[in-house]
Amino acid sequence: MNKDDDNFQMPEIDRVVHEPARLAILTVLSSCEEADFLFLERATKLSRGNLSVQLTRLEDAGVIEIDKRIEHKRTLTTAKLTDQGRRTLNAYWDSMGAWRTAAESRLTGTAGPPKRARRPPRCYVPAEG
Amino acid sequence: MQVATFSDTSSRNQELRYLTAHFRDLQGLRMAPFWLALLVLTSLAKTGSVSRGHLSWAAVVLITAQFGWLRLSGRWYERRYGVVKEPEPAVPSGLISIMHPEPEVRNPLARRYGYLSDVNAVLFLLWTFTFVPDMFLGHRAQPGIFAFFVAVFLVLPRCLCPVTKNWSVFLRRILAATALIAIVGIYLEYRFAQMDLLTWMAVLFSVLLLLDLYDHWLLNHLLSSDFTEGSHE
Repeated sequence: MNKDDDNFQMPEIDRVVHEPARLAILTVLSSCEEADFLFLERATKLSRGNLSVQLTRLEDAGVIEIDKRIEHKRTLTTAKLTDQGRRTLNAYWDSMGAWRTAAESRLTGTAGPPKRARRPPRCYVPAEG
Repeated sequence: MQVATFSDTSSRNQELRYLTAHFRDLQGLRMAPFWLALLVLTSLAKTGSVSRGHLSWAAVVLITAQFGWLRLSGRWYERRYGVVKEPEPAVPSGLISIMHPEPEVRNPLARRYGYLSDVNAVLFLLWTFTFVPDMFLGHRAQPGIFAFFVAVFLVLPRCLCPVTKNWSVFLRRILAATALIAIVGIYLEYRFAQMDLLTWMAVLFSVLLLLDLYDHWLLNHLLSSDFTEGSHE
């Protein structure tokens, strides 16, 4: 560890997105236009209660929109990513890329601020509009 | 350790993205019963225990029933696994979605996308009317065109779509590539080595059945993976 390493300011991680359950939900929603509660429950393996809580938190943060409607005599609850949500998720992946680069630098002994934030492939969520 | 954690998270997220983006493509039971029934009919024709005329009529009934099954199986998947509305493709290519019409959603955007898929599915089934019954009657069937159509629209996209580090996802591509080579190879065998038409068709239907069953298994396998280990809230 050298002086540059000590002075390097790591980017802040968005705690709303960083929690594994919420990140899983946002990952699903970033790959489609919208998904219903059942699919989110099955894909993320969260309990109904936990999923409901996480969705509410994400909605409160303005990251997703939740819509409830009746279809075929059933209540269909769907969630979709908002434009702000897409921007937040992209910023999160940028931050994670910077963290990853820094962690790799420490491991290889070439400490210092990352030259370029690396992001996992195909993570970018294009903002609509 | 941190790098390993990042890689692990990234890998899981890739699987989640793959599962969501290919949700409809992985619904293999929409077409698997159709291929299985055609395989049975072809086997019966090969053994000669049932008259060709009867088999031809059975094929007509089967294709007609498939229109309804596509709708019913769509509802079944919707109730069992949920609904995912995909982004509308920039270019309305049917490709792998040809046999997977989207479940009905009361949304103008979704209806437009579903309409395109439904048209592809209906066109494909109408086209099979012109080939499959004739095959049992021994008329001038064109298995090459049928196989080409199936390979390009149902098998090739499985080879081209991006894969994740997950071995089961990668195996899907391997299987599809193998199937593609097998379809071409066996067609050449039929064309130049005078292989029996019914044998060739039985192999084709078996390959398609295998691919669709694998897709259904993969859907369940990906859904059974735990993506939220360590979630504490």
